[in-house]
Amino acid sequence: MNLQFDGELLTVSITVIFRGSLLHIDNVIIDTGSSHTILTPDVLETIGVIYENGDPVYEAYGIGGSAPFYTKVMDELRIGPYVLTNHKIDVGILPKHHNGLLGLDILMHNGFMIDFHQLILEHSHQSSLMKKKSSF
Amino acid sequence: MKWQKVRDLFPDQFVLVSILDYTEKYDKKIVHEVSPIRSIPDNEANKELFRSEPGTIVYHTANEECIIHIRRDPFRKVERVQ
Repeated sequence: MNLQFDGELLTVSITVIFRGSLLHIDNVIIDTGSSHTILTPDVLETIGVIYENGDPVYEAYGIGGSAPFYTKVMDELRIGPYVLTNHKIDVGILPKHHNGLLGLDILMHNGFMIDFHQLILEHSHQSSLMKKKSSF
Repeated sequence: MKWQKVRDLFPDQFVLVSILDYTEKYDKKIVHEVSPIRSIPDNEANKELFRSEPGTIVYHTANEECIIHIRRDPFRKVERVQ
């Protein structure tokens, strides 16, 4: 899976599926400084991902103060040929209108490897959470 | 007023409230006292949640308790809608 470098940050394109609707999201930042993956509400709204009763509500405390967000389970989250099913993500506002951050919940817990030299994201071993699809 | 009172006044809907008092338990706030600002239609809850000022929250009164989970990521850059 090729990574893009926009001059400042490393990004990747992902696909999410929610209640039967599919959405491609570009410019998702590879962020090893985030414990969780977060996608913006503006982008997700287009496939019907909105705050509903039952969605856990959070306050995030970080640089800049605090901000609200909620979590939602995506039916599928695909990164290249790799597919995660029923993965919970944060839905929240990001600075500078970024589309999303891919965090350690996905990168580390699924054994991804980042080749910073060739700008490739690779999956290093079989994981019970992941399955590799030959095409999608 | 107590969250339970808000549930009686605004049954089974989203409300925007000011948080007046809560108990913090490690990774969540259990909100006890709030001041209701207004009710929010379902199709506006998304927008209103992200527009909410610090110290306020949009929450659904079908829930017996008003619980806000806490996420602390030291390097997470947070931003509210401008």
